Amino acid sequence: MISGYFPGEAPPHPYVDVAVRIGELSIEWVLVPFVVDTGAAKTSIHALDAIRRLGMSPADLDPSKWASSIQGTGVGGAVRYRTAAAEYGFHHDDGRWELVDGEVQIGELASHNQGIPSLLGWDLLQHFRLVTHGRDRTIVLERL
Amino acid sequence: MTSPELVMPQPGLDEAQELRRFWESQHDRLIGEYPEQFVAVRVGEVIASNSDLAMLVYALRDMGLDPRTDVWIEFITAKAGSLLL
Repeated sequence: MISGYFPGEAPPHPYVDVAVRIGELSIEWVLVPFVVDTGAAKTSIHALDAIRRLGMSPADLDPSKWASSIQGTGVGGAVRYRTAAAEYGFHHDDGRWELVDGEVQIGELASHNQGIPSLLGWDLLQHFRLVTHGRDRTIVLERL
Repeated sequence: MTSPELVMPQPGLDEAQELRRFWESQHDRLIGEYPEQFVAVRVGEVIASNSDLAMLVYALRDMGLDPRTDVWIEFITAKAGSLLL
């Protein structure tokens, strides 16, 4: 069982902290706060977390310097993303780490998307049963 | 594939929880002083702020600080509740 949380915002958004390792970018395990977003097709890390958690620079988030990119459309408007293979570590309440291989979309740093949170999308959520309780403000992921 | 025993993320789970508690406890104060701005905190004090994240990072670098390891950065906004996902 992997417990998330609702930070003190109104209305609340459900978060879960997930460890991420991106070998091809030489990024070792970092803990990223993701909004659980069942409507997002892919898991994405946006600029604020790319800088403060992954240690990337604004120049690293300039799509003109990427070998390839894709365009995504979401809450931050149209954003270019670079795709990288990633390992994810989900922390069970009993102390175990559950590892899942996948990809991550790293968003560009643009003026219109700087404050957007990172999103845990369906590519990873499909591996879990998701239980939310609005009144108790709890959210739990259980591995399928 | 990494062994689960080797997952030791930075920040750690306890530090991440401490970060959350800090930002939640300071939000009401910071929203009045730094609305819609990115702020960098070091040892509990705001040392830089900017509405542009890149500009904040460059200011921190000019101070010789690493945005990942030397400060805590957060976006202080009153609009989080209007985020439609």
